[in-house]
Amino acid sequence: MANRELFADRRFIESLRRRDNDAIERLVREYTRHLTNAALGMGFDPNAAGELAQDVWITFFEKAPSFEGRSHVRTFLFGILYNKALEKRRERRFSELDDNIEAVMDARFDPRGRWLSPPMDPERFAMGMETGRMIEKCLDGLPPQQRTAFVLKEVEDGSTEEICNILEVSATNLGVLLFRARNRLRECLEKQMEGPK
Amino acid sequence: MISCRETSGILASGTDPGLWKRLQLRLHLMMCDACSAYKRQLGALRKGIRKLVETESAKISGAELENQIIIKIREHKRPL
Repeated sequence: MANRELFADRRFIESLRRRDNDAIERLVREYTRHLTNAALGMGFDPNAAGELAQDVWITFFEKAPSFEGRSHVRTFLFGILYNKALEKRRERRFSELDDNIEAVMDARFDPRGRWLSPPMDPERFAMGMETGRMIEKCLDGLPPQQRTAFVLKEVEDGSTEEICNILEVSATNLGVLLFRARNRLRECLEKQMEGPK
Repeated sequence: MISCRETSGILASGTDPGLWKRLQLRLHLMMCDACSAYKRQLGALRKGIRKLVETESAKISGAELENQIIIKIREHKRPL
């Protein structure tokens, strides 16, 4: 049985509730890296990401006795991660971009819906991102829900259904979150690469 | 024929617009350099964040962290 299916199995969930040593070990080894990767994408440094993952696991096993297996354990874990990350973020106070991305996008097109000025050459765009510093800075400007949606989609390859369950949003809302996140990042990066005019 | 605006909207939101629109989208991308560039930029964004996470992730010793967590959970007996 593949791990993903095994972890959805009733007997496996039972053994988690009992805190069976084998079950704990299998699950922790399978998902810790995914949790830290998501945390890194959400803007935590490696140390903080490790601590956050630990916190998530403690909470997970505290809640395990009441876990009914209606969603997959992975979804449940990322849900805990998301909520803990929101709490931590509130303490840290990021400075978010306050641009209205819908208006920015509106201004990109003529009345017939054609680009007024085409997007930057994608090769140059990709090269500008190579150091990682630019994208990091632009990511920090995203509101947490948009950023998490983007990270779960692009880094964790989450399905629409799974991301919707983690963030507790509808599929339509998720589309809006991704639209905003991607366009904000794109606009922010282009602006930085073009430099001051 | 769908517009650039609609094309970029479908690409960025990642929602499935249905078969008919999917075909129109493909046709549009074949003919429109600006939207093709836009699509490739979105691909570059995906690569960019994956690379960033990968670089940072290499700074975490996975096995060590996992061991720590496993020990902690075993010690942290259920509060019954």
